[in-house]
Amino acid sequence: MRDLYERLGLGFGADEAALRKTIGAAKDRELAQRAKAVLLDPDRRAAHDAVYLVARRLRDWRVELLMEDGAWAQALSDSDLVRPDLPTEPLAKPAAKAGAARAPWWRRLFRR
Amino acid sequence: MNGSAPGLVQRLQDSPQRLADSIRASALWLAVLDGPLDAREFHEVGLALTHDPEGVPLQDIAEAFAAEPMPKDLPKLFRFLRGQRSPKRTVSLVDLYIRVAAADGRISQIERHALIFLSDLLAAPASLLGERFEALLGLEFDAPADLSDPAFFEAAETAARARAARQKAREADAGKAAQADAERREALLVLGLKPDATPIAIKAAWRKLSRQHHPDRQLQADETAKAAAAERFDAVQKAWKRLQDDDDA
Repeated sequence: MRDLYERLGLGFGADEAALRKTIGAAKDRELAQRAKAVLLDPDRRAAHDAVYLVARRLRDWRVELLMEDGAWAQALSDSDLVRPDLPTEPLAKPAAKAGAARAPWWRRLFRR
Repeated sequence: MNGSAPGLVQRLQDSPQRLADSIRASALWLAVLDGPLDAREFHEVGLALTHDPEGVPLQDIAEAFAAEPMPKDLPKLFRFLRGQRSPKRTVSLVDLYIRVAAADGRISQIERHALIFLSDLLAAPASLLGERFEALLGLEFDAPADLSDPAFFEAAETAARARAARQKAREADAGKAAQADAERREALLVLGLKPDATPIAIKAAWRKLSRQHHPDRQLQADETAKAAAAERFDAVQKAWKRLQDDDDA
């Protein structure tokens, strides 16, 4: 039920050329059909965008106000009420400089 | 008057009537979220709380939200409201939000999203919104529709085409138009409604009368009462079908 831009991996309100390119390259056939039927029709796209623009902002405010455990958010967890799932892969650690990792704790603390 | 939204949130924070003004502002925010403010929605908010001369005028709040419906600092207002919640206040606020959303006769998809957000903001149980919706409007609360599904648009477009065709046919034949209007008024009368009844009021009246006169509810009644109830039930269903044909409901 998430908005189609998000499911396609595009920014909200992406232009038509980017939409057509992404829809053409989409591996998920059902998603491509949906996006083609909704986002390439100006009236449908306007209605879709109006609702999901508000839904996205409300979702951001849920995070800001610590409301993600709200009763409705849990009941509709697959919807636009809650933020997208966190990445399943752990975030890559930044590459450490040679020698820096081996520096003793007191040298890192009192370097200056 | 300060017309910009950030100024509005600051004014609400500084208001001596901060709670009442914040409640009014949250209700007006809900009203403007899906389009220009309807006079009935504005009226509903005005009725909710007694205006205090020291507070922020309702008109100022409405103008600020009309300029920017979703200002970035609005969470400050919501955070304050969340902090002021209590079980009794939560119920009265949910009631207010439902009345305001329904005041223009329709509950839009955006209003459904916002009602759910406000319900969670007040930490209300998920069932409360449905219960109060049923109690106030006589309708079930449906979660927002999935607008990524073309079927949603196909159904809406089919209904709009049928409505346009009926309107065109009526305009082409003045006599038919007068007859259709008379039938519509009669159907509304059967449901106990005025000619300017909103779609929400029509659906609520139909549900209420259907429940009241349903044959399964007449088990203890005598034969005369059962027959009368059945007749009334049929009349209500016919009236509902007639109004559905007009897509009023």
